[in-house]
Amino acid sequence: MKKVLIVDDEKMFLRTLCEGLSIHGKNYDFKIVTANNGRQAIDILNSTEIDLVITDLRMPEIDGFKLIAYISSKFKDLPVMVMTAYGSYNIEMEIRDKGILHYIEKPIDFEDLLKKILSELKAERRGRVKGMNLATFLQIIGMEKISYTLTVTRGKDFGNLYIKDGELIHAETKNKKGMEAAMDIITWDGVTIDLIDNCNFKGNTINMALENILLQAYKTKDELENRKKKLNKRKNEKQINLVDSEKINEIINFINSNYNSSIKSLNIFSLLDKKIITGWNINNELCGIYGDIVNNLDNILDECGFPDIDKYFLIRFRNDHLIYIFPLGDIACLIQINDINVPLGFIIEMFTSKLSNTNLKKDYQ
Amino acid sequence: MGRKLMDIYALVTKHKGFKGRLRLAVRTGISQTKAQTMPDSSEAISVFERAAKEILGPDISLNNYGG
Amino acid sequence: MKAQKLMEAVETLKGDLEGSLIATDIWSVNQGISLAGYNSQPKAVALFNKVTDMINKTLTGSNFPELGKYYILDLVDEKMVVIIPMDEYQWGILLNSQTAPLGLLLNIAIPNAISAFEEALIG
Repeated sequence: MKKVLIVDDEKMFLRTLCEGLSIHGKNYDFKIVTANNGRQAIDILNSTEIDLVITDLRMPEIDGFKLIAYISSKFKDLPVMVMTAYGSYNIEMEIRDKGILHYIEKPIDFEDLLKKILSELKAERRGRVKGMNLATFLQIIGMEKISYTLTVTRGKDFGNLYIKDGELIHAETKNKKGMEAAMDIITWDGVTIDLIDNCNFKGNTINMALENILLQAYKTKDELENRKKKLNKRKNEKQINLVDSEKINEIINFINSNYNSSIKSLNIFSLLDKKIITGWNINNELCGIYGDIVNNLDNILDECGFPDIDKYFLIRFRNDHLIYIFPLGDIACLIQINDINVPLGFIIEMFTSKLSNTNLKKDYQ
Repeated sequence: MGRKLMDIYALVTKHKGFKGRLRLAVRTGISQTKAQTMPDSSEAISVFERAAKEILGPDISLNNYGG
Repeated sequence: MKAQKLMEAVETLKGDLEGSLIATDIWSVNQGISLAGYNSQPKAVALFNKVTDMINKTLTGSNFPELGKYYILDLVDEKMVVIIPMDEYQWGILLNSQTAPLGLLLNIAIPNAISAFEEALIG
């Protein structure tokens, strides 16, 4: 049978909570274990296998924050829910989507609490949020408007967060300070948190509300993860594209014979490392720059939910020089045209249909 | 009609793109469409050349812009 | 800037492109706000403001000239976007790539659009 540990220093409240849960949850298979403070809770955790912890924050001896810090270092997989009287609907809505929020507002709504417990207990270990992450922890400190100095450790990295009356006033890592350090530390995963009562930093290097810092940090983290995912997707594509030089030469000859050396350069290059695979009159610098542009463009369109690039991307410069890019998965064809007399509509139609219909890619065996 | 003025428009667009073209229009108060239809008066040419010089900067010469 | 002439510029584009035009906006780069448009798309305005800025920064960061005329993106779902940077303003045009006559767009619609915008700018 699964066990839920509830920690609160108000004995009456604890009793009411246990009774309420046993009435509402009589048909469910879990057992309630209680503790009156953080010290007792730690003893129970070290002697009994617990599946979920629900804790109050303000308690004598070891308070809820220190208990959570302890759990984050010793029982990283154990989910924690916090009971607080200072819920913030807006931030809950924003952060709950990311699966990192675990708090229950006081006064307790038994049905809601039961629902949260059951959902947490039912969730597969793999699929659920492990322990309580730093962002959630900071969010709760912010709600409670208290002062702490947090030392956050992730492997060999460590950093300090200075929180005064629930606001983050300074952060530092080995080589960063202020907001930059805060943005870095907040998004670390698998951290251990050590708490020192009170904030021992004088001054203020950060002037943004804690909840906005959290949202900003997670937005940045999401963006980075999307980029990584995209890059990995490309790297994992089983097909390695090789280019059929014969077909490329055919295209170059066709254009040059029709438009008398209008093409300045033609480059087939990798979008992953911007290295040129083949081409004619190749231009490494151009491929480096436009490789970055295509990758960034791809990411911006993706983040905003706009349709992806389909066939081509074309830039016409002030001197009527043209850059025509035809992305083909992890490679791209870049053509530099420097003749204003070449009809643009024809160029687009001709390149696009030639490149679309020609098997430029050969399957790598 | 307005051949020299159009040449100045072409030179500015070549070196500074649409941005330059629009700046030339704002500074002279004469759009490209209008320049096409007005005569190449010495007064208009002088206004255009002055504006073009400012937009193009010292590195780009206005000499022989028509040629 | 004459708002009436700006709307006329949009109308000129609509007339040139007929049914192929899905949406268009002329916006101020600094504020990212549309000044005139047809079937206005505020999200696309913000998006392409960012894209143009990214392209210009990448180009100038490598000592290349910034965007001078326009750029075109052929997108999935049979859509095409044309962005014309115009100093402090930008003009974005969303088209149906299947029906948009490319020659007409590049040789007539865009030059007409620029001329009409120029008239609006002078006032």
